[in-house]
Amino acid sequence: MTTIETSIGATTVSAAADSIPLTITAAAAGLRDGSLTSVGLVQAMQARADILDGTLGSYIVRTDEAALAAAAKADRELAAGIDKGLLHGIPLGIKDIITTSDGPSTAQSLILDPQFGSVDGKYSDALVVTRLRDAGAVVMGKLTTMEYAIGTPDPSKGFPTPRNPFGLDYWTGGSSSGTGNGVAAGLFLGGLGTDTGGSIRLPAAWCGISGMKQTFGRVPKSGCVPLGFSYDHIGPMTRSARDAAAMLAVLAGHDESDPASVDVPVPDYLAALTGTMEGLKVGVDVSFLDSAACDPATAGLTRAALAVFVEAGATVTEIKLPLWDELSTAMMAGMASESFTYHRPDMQSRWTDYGRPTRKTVGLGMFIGAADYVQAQRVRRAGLRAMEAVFADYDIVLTPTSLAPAPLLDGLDFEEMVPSVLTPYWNSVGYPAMSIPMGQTAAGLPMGLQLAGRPFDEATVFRAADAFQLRTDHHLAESPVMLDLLAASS
Amino acid sequence: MSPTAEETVTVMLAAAGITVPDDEKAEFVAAYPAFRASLDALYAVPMSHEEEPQLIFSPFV
Repeated sequence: MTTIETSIGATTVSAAADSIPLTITAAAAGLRDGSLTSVGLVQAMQARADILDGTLGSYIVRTDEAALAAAAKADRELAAGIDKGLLHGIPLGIKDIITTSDGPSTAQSLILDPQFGSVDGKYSDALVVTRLRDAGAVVMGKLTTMEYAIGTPDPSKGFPTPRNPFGLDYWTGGSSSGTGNGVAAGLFLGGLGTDTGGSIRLPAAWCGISGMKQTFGRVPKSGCVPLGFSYDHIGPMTRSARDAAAMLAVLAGHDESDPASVDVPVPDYLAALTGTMEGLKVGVDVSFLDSAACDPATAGLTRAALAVFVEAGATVTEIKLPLWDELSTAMMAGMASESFTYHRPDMQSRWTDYGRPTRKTVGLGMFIGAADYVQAQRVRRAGLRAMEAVFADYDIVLTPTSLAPAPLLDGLDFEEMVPSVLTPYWNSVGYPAMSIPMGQTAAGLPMGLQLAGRPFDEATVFRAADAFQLRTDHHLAESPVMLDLLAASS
Repeated sequence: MSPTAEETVTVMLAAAGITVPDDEKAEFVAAYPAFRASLDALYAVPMSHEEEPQLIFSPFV
């Protein structure tokens, strides 16, 4: 495998004996210089899954044979000079609320109709999966989630409990848990998550990878089990921002199958990665760092990250984001209303077939009146007006992704955790927001920095995130726990 | 006199046609006052009296 050094000297190859590439970008280079084959890469990652998945809980279903066949096809095509782009031959995982043609989806629930995503017993790919396969990507399998992409794990329902690769007693964050811990552990190089209130950004932050929730309407979400119709996004999770940009370039684009899809041009995200933040005006809300919910490590890591932004050429100014509590409530209440609408019939007849965390969170929707729901949607519009004023002065707005690192699985309480998570705000206004790694706590748990941008300007968010990652190596950090498990098995 | 949280939760569970175990009902009752207060706070957000919700009906599917 070709070793690619970053601008600060960190390598993009795993320290484990299998020396797999850590990023899509590195693997793509290896596939083209002959040091790597897609089949070899898929086999190495399947071998990792053999060792790690029983502990990590990343997969619901592995599609090993189909993945190897797709990898062999990619190798043949690349050898023949057919190059479909950076994702060609790259192993990816799919959160199990997004349909694939390989078989039924579960949403990690006993409730979901096994026929979801099928016609006459034949399963089909969600549009995003079709786009990935058309770009030559190799689908490795379906990945764990929280039930219906909400809440916390409920081991009593028979599904795997996803664990944090940096500390197995800790949660991954949810709900795109298997995508988060699987990318971090090298079971695949990227994957699809979904984000209704932070379900891409939170597991990305707590598993030490990058995750993008792009602008609402940028990526069609047809073929995905809904949670909050007006808050849901399907987006990429990868180690690097550059890799996420490569994935979003494939995923983005209007399609009428999703009524919320917006018909706007998709820019060249990779061309936007200039390596510098010169000229960027960055606002940062550090008021959160004084709150009681803030872990002592968070302030230090955030301020260290800000110094990198300045070093990279950005002008950083402290700001106070408007309507924080109200827009966060508008997200949680709106999501609860919309999800309860979807689940009400099943909750009437099969309440205890749902996991208790799901019952507790979605069930809140029954206490929200129609006027409350409409008022939440009026607050969202007022929030958009306030956002326009903020982004008239700033290109990027920063906060930590969360105020505390991953909590212990034992005793986990979703409602107690929510106030320390700074992601739902951006779902309320639909603006793009990305989490990138900004370092680790003293206990070795990753923390994330959240970058938000103007609507449909993911390119600037990627540009800033990539420039940050060219000057840091947090996104390349491997879990010592995973490396020890791999070493012990060899 | 305003209904208690328990009375409200009981009525809304019945209206939704959902039966939950007693311990889960107790959790909803405990959570309801703060949840209601967060919803009420949405009505205090400064905005035009005529502000439209982010819900625009379209006659096309």
